[in-house]
Amino acid sequence: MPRGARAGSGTVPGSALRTERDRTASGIGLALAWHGAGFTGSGEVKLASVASLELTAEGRVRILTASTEMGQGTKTIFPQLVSDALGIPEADVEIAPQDTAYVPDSGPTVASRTAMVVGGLLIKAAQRLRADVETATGGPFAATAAAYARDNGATRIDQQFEPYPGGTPFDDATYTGDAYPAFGWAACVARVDVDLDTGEVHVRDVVAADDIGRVIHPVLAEGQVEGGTLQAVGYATIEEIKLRDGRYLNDRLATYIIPTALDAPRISTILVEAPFGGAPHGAKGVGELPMDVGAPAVVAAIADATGAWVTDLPASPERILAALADRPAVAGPRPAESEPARDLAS
Amino acid sequence: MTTYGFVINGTTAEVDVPGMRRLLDVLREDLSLTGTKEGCGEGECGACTVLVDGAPVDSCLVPICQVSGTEIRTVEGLAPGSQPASQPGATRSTANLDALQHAFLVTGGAQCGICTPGMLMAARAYLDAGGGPDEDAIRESIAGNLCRCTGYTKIVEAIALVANGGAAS
Repeated sequence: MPRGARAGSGTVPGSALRTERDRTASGIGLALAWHGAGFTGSGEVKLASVASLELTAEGRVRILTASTEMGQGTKTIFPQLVSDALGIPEADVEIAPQDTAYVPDSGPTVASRTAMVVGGLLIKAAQRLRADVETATGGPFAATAAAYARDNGATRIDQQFEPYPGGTPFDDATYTGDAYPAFGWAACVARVDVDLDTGEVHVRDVVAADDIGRVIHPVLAEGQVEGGTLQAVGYATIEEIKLRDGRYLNDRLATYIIPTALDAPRISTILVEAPFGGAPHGAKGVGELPMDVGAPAVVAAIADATGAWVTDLPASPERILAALADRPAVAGPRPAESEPARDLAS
Repeated sequence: MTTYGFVINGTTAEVDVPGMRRLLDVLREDLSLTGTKEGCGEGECGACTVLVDGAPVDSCLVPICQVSGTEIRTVEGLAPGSQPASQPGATRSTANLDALQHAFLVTGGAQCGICTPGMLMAARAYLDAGGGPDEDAIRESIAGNLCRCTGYTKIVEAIALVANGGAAS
């Protein structure tokens, strides 16, 4: 059966998804994924990250970690976690500059590990600090910390990573054991329109449901999911690094195209909370998980609309038209065999 | 060098610079208004968007000689009198923020922040021109401003919130 003859649900007459244009096919696609949180295998054990908390002589609480704020909200959620554990207002918690001249090595800000791993260390440090102060003063931390600091000077708690309880340690020799301490789970549904004349895809709506464990800050967590989802939609439809002789052909925003607000679908986020029991706050990673599911959902929606599966990203008009015609896609630029490399200096 | 005069955020200013100096550089380097960011430097990303006589322009593409006698508004003009926090842990005052800045805070419309000043100015121009809460119209109004962090959803929500009269300061 020719591929074009296989109608997706969106092309069925009477379908609510069918659009007005006869030569536009609509479809929906679903993708499911899981993503390990924290470093793989023995990574976290080898890193042995340290996060610290200081009760200054002036009675201030200061967070010391190397986790970089890049917009994902580290500087918002860390004071949230620490103030909650100490029973004090968030405004009474400050963050030291994220520079290892001042702070311990809490590992790199990667691998969907900051909220779960470093956030968990901070909570444990706060619990120890609170116990120290309350044991000594006999009163609640919030009421007695300032007097304790005045009498005892600054107190610093260094909390080092310890393997999460209950797992099977990873063995680097046999490559067995728990690959990750926890997994986030994601489902993504995309609805697309495909112009059958031009091969252009318009991703209209995406619903992303992500289990990231206990949600620390819902607005920031949704922002992580929405941003990752749109990057995945761009990866699915328009974004492609082109190389020639090892050099980028599209190394700028004029030629490496990313989605604008008009290209972006409406993204609806559903946060699912299945807490990670190993971490004191139950958080799992959120940074990478949403990025895993968007592209396969879009490709599945294109297949639903057209009957043709695109097997090489992005699903550009050229690749979609080739798939519809059941012929190989137009090859991307390759290292030239006969043509000498362009001398950029001349 | 020639002297160019204009109004910046309600105050008259004069600079004595080469006529082809980019408006972006005049703002950031000559006038120390570093709220406006440089992204791509070639008019693709919109990070450097400012308003010239109410119209959003990429300040990286505008030579200073073209804006003589105009009225320019930058992100600093949205929150008059506010000072950036100079110390870690210092609390920024939100008292003087524009309704759009409030809305961005409420909805989570800013993440890394590089697109935010330009995004705010494009949205301010849209609302000042009478733009409403229609999602497609809002998306069109910020189509020249790239954001890599948010997926745009919360930015569109923020602008719609202000268009609907919400998030007032």
